[in-house]
Amino acid sequence: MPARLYLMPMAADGRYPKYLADLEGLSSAGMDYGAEPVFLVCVRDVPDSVHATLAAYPDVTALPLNLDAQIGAQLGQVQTALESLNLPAQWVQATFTYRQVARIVAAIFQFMQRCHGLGFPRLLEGTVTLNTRFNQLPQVSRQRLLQAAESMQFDTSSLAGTSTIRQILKAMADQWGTLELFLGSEVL
Amino acid sequence: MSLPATDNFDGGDNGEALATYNANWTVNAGAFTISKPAADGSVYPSSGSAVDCLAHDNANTYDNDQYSQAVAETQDGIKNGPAVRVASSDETAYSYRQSNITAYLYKTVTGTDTWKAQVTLACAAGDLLYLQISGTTLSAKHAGADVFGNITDASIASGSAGIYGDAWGGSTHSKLDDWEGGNLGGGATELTVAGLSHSHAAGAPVLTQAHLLALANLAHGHSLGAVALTQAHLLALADLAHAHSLGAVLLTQAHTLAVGGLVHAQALDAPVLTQAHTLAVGSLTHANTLDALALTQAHALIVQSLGHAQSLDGLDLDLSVMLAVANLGHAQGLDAIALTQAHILVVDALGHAQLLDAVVFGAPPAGTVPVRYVVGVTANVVPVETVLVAAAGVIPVREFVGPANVVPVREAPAEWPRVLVRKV
Repeated sequence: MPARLYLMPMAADGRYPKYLADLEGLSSAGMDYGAEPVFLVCVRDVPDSVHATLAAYPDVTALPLNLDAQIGAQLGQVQTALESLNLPAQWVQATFTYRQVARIVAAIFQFMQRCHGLGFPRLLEGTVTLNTRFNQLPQVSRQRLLQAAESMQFDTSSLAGTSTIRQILKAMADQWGTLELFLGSEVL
Repeated sequence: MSLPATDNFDGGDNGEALATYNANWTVNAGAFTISKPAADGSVYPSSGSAVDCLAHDNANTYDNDQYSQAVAETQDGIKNGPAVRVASSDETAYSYRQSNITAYLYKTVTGTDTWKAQVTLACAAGDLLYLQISGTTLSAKHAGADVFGNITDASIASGSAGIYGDAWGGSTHSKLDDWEGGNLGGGATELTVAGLSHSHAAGAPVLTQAHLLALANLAHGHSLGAVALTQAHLLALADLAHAHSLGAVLLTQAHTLAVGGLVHAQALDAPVLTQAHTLAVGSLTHANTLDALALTQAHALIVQSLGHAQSLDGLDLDLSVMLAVANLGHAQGLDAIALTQAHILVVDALGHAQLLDAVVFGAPPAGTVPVRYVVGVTANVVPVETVLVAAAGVIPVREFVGPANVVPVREAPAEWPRVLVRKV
């Protein structure tokens, strides 16, 4: 059986996927959304019974087995699932494949991981949402985002003025370029 | 101290604190203690509480691309292992944590752990635990075998090599020995030897984590003996002419050994490849010998475009994913191939009077065979139809389907080794 990908919340009592206990004995790897409580999880050779259990959780999004299938009619569902986890989804199109979406999500995660690694707290909490503009953020938050982008040698022109966080995160992800993103047995 | 840095923990006293025994260690969190009931010392985490333990080598400045490795000694449920990008003082690092039954990958930022990966994996005393990070790509090896696959994480940009120890460790629990930390690339990232002529000798170069050893355009009577590469990414030999010898190549975790364009009486004897990803031998002409290859977990062995009177005997493949032999000319012998759980044997475009004798297939691989891709060594490498055989010794024949640029081997619940022959 090949690997499957799941988006799921972080556990309440630690920085691990909420349903990690269901993956006992399986080979799994995760990518965190920095300080935001979300994981992208790759599970290798997941039994059908475990997949059914995971997919049945209302806060888990199971990506289809064929990541190279186009989203098509599932566009709205995909966007809703991403936005529910504070992931910007305005850029997702019906012609995208699930792998393309997962890749951009993973690239967003990388930027937010760098923020977390620099010791910055959660960004998307309280009154700050994906639609908050850069110039509405506290000065310290603006400096943190700039510092993270500069440490990754990213262009920081999007980190200004009325750019919303959703636009900024997509702009940061786009700068990941063509580098591969690895998640266990999956290459995005 | 220069890199790679090492510590066998033999010089301290039993019960001595790690940083007291060796001031090159900084303990970021918890405590580590030397265990030395006999001459061979080791180290164990000793916080004696719920505090995890982390220490790093403070005597060296590490590149961002680095590795750390240690040998597991006593192993029980307490997790120990190598750590990379350990901060100078904070409890911040990536760590590969191995107990006797499970492997974990974590990142820790100012004392807060984030789970990265886990896999059920038994570990015994003597097993080497290895963790590296290159750019944003983490990868771990247990006794030389990949543990989690690659994992991308951009959280921690820099730091030093070190060790991790579980909370609640102690003298009767898991220990580590023979630690080593260093930079990926280990110095030269590229060593190129080219344009040499007449009786040169390049004997016994030892490369540690070299990224590229390229030998090209050597002529007349060269010898390249006993190359020992550790974690080399590429050993490329090309356009060598006249009576060359390439003897006893020892590659450990090499990604590619490419040998091409050799003419006249070359010998390529007894290379030993461990976990090599690709051994590509191409365009050999006239009386070449390629004998006694021993490949362990090689992903691809590709031999093509061999000219007259070649012998390709005595191959011993263990867990190789693909053996492709193509475009062989006259009077080849392809004898005594022993495949153990090899996933595919492709023999293509053989000329006159070939022998394909005594191919011995091992037991079918247990469980699922993953989809593998081999890219580009053979032009327009094509999809290969997976063939299930009823019993060892039966060799089905199928045609290629394609062309494309990859070889996806169709996944099946259980597959037997198989051979594909065409254009005979």
